[in-house]
Amino acid sequence: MNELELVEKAKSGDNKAFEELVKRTQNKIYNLGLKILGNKDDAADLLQETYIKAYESLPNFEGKSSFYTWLYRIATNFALMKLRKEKYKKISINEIKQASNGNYKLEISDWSNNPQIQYRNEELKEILNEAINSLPPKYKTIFILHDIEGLSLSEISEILSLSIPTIKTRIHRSRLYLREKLSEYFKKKGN
Amino acid sequence: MNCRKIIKLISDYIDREIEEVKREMIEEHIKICKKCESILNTTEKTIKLSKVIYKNKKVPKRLEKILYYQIRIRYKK
Repeated sequence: MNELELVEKAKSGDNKAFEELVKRTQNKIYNLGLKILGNKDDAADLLQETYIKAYESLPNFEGKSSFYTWLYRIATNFALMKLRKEKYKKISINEIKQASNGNYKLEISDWSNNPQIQYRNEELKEILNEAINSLPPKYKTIFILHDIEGLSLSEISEILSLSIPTIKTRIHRSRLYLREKLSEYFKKKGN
Repeated sequence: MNCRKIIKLISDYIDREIEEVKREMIEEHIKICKKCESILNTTEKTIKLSKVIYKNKKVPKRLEKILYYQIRIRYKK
């Protein structure tokens, strides 16, 4: 049975159909939670809250977007709310703008072929993970949805109710900021 | 096109969200500008690295049970 048929059945009160939709999407939503929120407990909360909200809001789901996009919208709203409450230090919006305004303070050494870039370089992963986690919530969420989850600009626009130029700007700034952090790492390592 | 403008367009270039004319201008520019070429290469690498730092996981069985329980208790209402 395809997604549309399941959604229709679920809307008309078929709980088995709803559970089938959960089964098909739960890993995606859980992983989104792990990536955005960075730990298992919060990802578990996100997973439960997303489906409880989805179940309760199902009668209002009009099918204008796909079921997936709709779920992502519920999940990212929950994640953003949670991230904004977090206490650990995030970089300021100004800081992220600076890294991308094209001035010449940018680190320019080309480390893209550095032999230290290996899948198993845990230190490098840690640096990058920390840098992603320090992004302001509205940047981090978009960066993860686009560059890690591979969602299109128009899907993200639907999920977050933001214009495509705004999304593009945030992706661009996030990338240059993260690039800058990795450049600093390679500079320390002597490139 | 100067370096500042090139850097602003780097993401559009990487995502192929750019007009042909601008794409060609960037390609011409990076042939002669090591600085912008480095920024382009390292930005692309940053994106690639970001994709591999996370490993996708399955919902743990215990959590799955809780999830279905949480949903099912709402059926009765």
